[in-house]
This record gives sequence, structure tokens and C-alpha cells, in this order.
Amino acid sequence: MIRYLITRVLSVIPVVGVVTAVVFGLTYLSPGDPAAVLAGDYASPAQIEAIRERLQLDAPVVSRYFVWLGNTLHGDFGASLFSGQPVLNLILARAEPTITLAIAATFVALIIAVPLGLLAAQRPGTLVDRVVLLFCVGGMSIPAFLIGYLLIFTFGVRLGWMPVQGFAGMDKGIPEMARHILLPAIMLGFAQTALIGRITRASAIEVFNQDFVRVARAKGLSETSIVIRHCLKLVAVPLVTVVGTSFASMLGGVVITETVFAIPGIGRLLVEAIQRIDIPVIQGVLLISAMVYVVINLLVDLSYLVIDPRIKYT
Amino acid sequence: MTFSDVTGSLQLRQLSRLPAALQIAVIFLILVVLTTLSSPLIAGTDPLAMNPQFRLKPPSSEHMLGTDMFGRDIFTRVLYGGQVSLAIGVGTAALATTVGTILGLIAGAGQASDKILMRIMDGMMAIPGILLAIALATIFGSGVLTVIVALAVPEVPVVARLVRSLTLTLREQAFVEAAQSYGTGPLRILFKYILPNALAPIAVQATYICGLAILFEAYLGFVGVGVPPEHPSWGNIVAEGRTFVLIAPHLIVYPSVVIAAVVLAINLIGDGLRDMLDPRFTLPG
Repeated sequence: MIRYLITRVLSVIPVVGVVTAVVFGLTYLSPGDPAAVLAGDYASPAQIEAIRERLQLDAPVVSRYFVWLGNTLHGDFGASLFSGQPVLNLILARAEPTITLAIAATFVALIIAVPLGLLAAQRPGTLVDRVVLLFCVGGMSIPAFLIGYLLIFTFGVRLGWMPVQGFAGMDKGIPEMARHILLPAIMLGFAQTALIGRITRASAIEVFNQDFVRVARAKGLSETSIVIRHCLKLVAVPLVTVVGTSFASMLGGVVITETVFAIPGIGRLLVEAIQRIDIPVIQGVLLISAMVYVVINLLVDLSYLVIDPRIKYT
Repeated sequence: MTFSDVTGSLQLRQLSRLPAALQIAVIFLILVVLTTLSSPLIAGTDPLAMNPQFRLKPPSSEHMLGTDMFGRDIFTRVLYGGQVSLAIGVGTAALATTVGTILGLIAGAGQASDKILMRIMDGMMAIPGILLAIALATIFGSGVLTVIVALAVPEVPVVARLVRSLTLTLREQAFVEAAQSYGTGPLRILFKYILPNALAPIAVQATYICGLAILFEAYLGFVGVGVPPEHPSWGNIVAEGRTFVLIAPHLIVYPSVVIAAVVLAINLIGDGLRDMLDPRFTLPG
């Protein structure tokens, strides 16, 4: 088990190597002089020369990569071309809304998807099952912004129950924060609902067919008690993986959600950066998202050591 | 079940034996493709023709889906946009599948190539696909081809992983061993023996990528990178409507419904193909 632990943690290193290489390479994919690209449209020749000097652009690619990697690993992601501020500071300043949104969306997705998946799994092949499955395919097919705007029109504009723009942090109090985050969380969680619902259904069908469930039924236990007390734990095992990966994929989804609801998070930061072709900021957001993905997947894998004693690690 | 069995079972006479949802999806998609291909015949107007007097008009008998902020007919734009968006969907699926399949075969064939290639694929999968696509599209600059490449790159590892695992399984099969035993070269084994038997699951994956690419093209447009405005696409129609969404929701809602319907149909077809490949599945009748 210790060996598994060490190998799994070490396996992060090549992934980080590739991620940083891809992100580093982005600058060199653009047609033209990387220094000119990094300097932006309004730079003077002297400024471009200064960047060339600082990044050692005349040095070979590999050595430049390691210089950049060294800076990055020390938390120096470069500076925004637009504001001149350090990229890491910009990202950290925008982190709270995005993290809140991603966590809230995960909860929304779980609250909708798990009961639906269980419901479908109890009656596979019936109308209920088909409706749930269609709902899941639909969730993956409907553009997220359509869901967002429908929520805004219904609950924001027509009913006036929720604010339709902006973000309220912890400092405004939990009720205010919840009012602002609910609609965006539903929008972001909707696509994840599809994924989580499907996995819950598949996993539950497998569990429901096992002998101990038949025994429980034979003992005359109620269906609810069988599902909740005997099956839920087992159904949850594959769910941990899905919730992990879907949390990571939400980091992509926040770009659209934050745009629809005008939330000043990391997603908005990226949209602002692409409009200004602010490459260091784009690189920074990509790096941070990938790192979150890597860490979450590591935690998910390691959590199996604790939650599923059936798995033998050698 | 081999690939030809699946394509064979999709012949028209057997269409009636497929599940109802799948039938509707196939027929709907055929109709959409035919309609978008014949846009000039159906639309009657130019998708770029502006008419400032009729700006942001809701749907009427004259403009079935209303008009946008330049008075352009949204129905016409959605029709023409379909050509671009469907081409992006198919193009992305073709590109990602081709590159991913080649990489997957190479990885599945050898030990050293497997280790290196799969580490690279793992690393690429760590970057959320839509973010990588946005970054690539931003840096390459706008254009239909750019969008196809930007959307295909994040999907390559997904295909490569699938093909690698298929190759590893197929490599152990008796018919491959037989071929090896009378001296067939490794390349020939990969492309003549392993690839044909892996095509069916690859086709399923390609279907999903096609649907995802159409959706992601809309997302790229929505955040302002992607297909330039002179070629209407579903993504940039939606993008241009964003500013006016509160006063003229039809600018976004109708194109979005079209996107949703088409992607849903493609995903249902993907699910249908997948079920047919499942050995537990039998076609009724």
C-alpha cells in the first residue's frame, strides 16, 4: 500500500511536465515573434527587446523552458500585459467566486443526479428509466448558456426571486451569497448532473442485483431502507471518481457561467485575457486549472485507500 | 460485432427496427443536413443582408425567427450557420479521430512508445478541454480551420486512450497471433488486422466528438474567439446576440434550441451505436 501511495504521488511529475510544456509552448504556436506577442500591440521596440532579454529568447528552447518552469514553480507566472500585475495575484484575487461556484454546482448536481439515478436503477427499462436517461443525454446536449438565460428569465426577470448578476462573498453573509450563487450553480451543475446521473444509475443497477440486496428484500425490509442503508455506500464508490473529474471539468464550464451571470471569477479573467490576447494570464489560468485537476484526481485515487477496503493495493 | 455489421444494420430497411428515439434522431439529422446544404434555396435572403429598419424584431410571418441588431434575418443566418457549424463538428471528429487513432495504435504496439505517448496524453487531459481550445483559438487567431484544430487537440488524447486499450486487447487475439506466426510485419498487423476490428468503438467516439465540437464551437463563439463574423456560424450568431439578450432573447434562444436539438440527435445516435456494439444488445425483430 505504501508502494502504491508513493508511485501514485510520483506519477504526478510527468503529468505536470507535459502540462507545463504545453502551456509554455502556447506562446511559440502563435505566428510571429514570441517577444512581440508577449509584449502586446502597444509595445515599443525597446520593450520587446527587454522581454527578449528577460526570457532569454535567443537561448535554445529547452533551456528557456526550464528557466520558465523554474520561475513558475516559484510562483512567478509572469505579469499581465495589460495591467502589469503579477498573474498569480490576478488569479488569486478572482479565486473566491470560482471556488464557491464550483462547490455549489457540485452540490446541486449531486442533489439532482443521485436520486434520479437511483430512481431509474430501481426500474430499469421502464418509462421512468427512459425519461431519466433522456434527461441525462439532454443535459450533455443543451448549450449551458441556454440553461443560464432560461434561469435568468424565469427566476430573475419574471419572478424576481434572485439577482441575475454578480457575486456576493462570505463577507455579505451566507443568505446573500446563496441567493447570488444558486442560479449560476444550477447552470454549471446541469451538465454534471447528466454525467453523475448516468454513473449513479449504472452503479446502482449493479449493486441492486447483488445477493445481499435479495436477502434484505427477503427479510422484508422496505425498499427505501434497502437503498439508503444498504446500497448507497456501495453506489457512492464510483461516484467519488466522477465527482472528482467533473469538478475539474467544471473549471472549464465556469468560463461560460461567469460570462452569463457576470461573476468576477477566474473564468471572467480568462475571457478578459483572450479579448486582450494577454498571453501570460491565459497561460496562468490554464496552469492553475490543470494543477487543480491533477491534485483532485490524486486525492480521489488516494481516497479509495480509505473508502473501499475491497481494493487490494500491492 | 464488426464495423460492417453496424453500418450494415443502419441500412434504411432496418431503420424501422431501431428504437424509436434513434429513428427520430437519424431522420432529424438527415433533414438538418439536407436543409443546411440547400440554404440558398430555402432562405431567399442573404445571411449578411442588413436592414436597419427592422432591428431586433421578434419572430413574425416575414422573419420566422426574428431579426438581429443589424436587421439580419436570424432564420437565414441559422441555416447558413449550420453549414459552418456542422462542418466544424465533422471536421473536428475526423481530425481528432485520425490523429488519436494513429497515436493509440503506436502506443498499443510497443512498450517504450506506450510509456512516452500515454504520459503525454495524460498531461494533455489534465487541462480542461474547453480552456485549451479557447487558448489555442486565441493564439492561432480566428478562422474555421483554427477552430477545428483548437477543438480537435483536446479530444486527441481521449481517442488515443481508447484505441490503445483496444489495441492491447486485440493484440492478444488468436487471429493476430496467427498473422504474426506466418511473418506479417508489425505495421501490417496494426493497420490490416487490429484497426478494422477497432473501428466500431472508434466510430462511436467520433460521433460523441462531433456533438461536443458543435457545442464547443458555440462556447468559443460565446466568449468571443472562433469563427469570424463574416461567416455566420451557430457560435457567432449566439455570440453577437449576447449583448442584446435581455431586450431581445430570441437572438440567443432560437439558435440555442437548434444547437441543442442537433447535438441531442448526434448524442442519441452515439448512444444507439454504442448499445448495438454491446454484445448483450440484440436488435428486435
